[in-house]
Amino acid sequence: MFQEFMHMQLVVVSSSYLSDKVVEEEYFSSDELTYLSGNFQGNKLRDKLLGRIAVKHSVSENDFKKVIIQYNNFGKPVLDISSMFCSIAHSYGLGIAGAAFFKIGVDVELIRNHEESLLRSIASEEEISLFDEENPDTIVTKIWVMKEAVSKALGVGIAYPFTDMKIEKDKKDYSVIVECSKWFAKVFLREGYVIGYCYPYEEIQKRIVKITYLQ
Amino acid sequence: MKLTEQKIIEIIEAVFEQKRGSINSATPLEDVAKDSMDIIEFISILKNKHNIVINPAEIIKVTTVKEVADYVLSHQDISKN
Repeated sequence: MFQEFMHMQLVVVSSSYLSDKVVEEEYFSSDELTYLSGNFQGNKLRDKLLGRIAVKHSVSENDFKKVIIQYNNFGKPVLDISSMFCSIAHSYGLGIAGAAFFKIGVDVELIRNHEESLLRSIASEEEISLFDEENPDTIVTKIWVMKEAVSKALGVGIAYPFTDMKIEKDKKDYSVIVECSKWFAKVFLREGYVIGYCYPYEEIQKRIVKITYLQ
Repeated sequence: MKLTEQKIIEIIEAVFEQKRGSINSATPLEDVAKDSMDIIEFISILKNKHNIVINPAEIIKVTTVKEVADYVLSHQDISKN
């Protein structure tokens, strides 16, 4: 059922992909759909479905219904193949997921208006200066997505202060330092969203990310 | 100036871009805070504008706007000491 691959799979699913009822039937068993629709409604249900479609598509070519997503005690999604790592995120009608046989983290955020205090609460002046954008909402969203992706890769929750993570830049590459670990972090813009992913920095030369868009 | 439950509801409406008067104390938090970025922004505003320090790990345990307000109100005196 699972694909064998050495790279990282990143799948991005937009809400228009959900409009066809066949998509739901292709990806979800009736039990899974019953569980999801019983626990979530409206946009929350939509985003949950998008995230799950993304992760199923990232690990399997066609046996999507057989991909079972569970959550560990820390709320981190896990697959029923222990050696594979996965990460899921969704934001306002866009779902993304990454899968790989090495540690990864992903995040996505719609760029929206933010109070300046948010930027100051998650980043230092030095980190902010590493970003060239004029729009402060884009800067704060990029910094958030980078650090949140690392937070997910580490399996730590919202309680881990983002100010304890330090973003560095070498030429065009960003990395995030957390305690003794260093993570390669990439963010990019797509249709008003910031999408990001990370993986351990030491294997940067070997890692290729294959991105699939479903829309 | 001390915060009140109504003032906290107004802050939540502003942070989470809700229409004025659209939420009340019984509104589930997850209906207004779409993700953790919203929660951290709310916490940063409380700290910067109202000098109230909130632990993110604690605030995510609450389920309604009233519980958020109760938590914040119970911490505003502690934070100023």
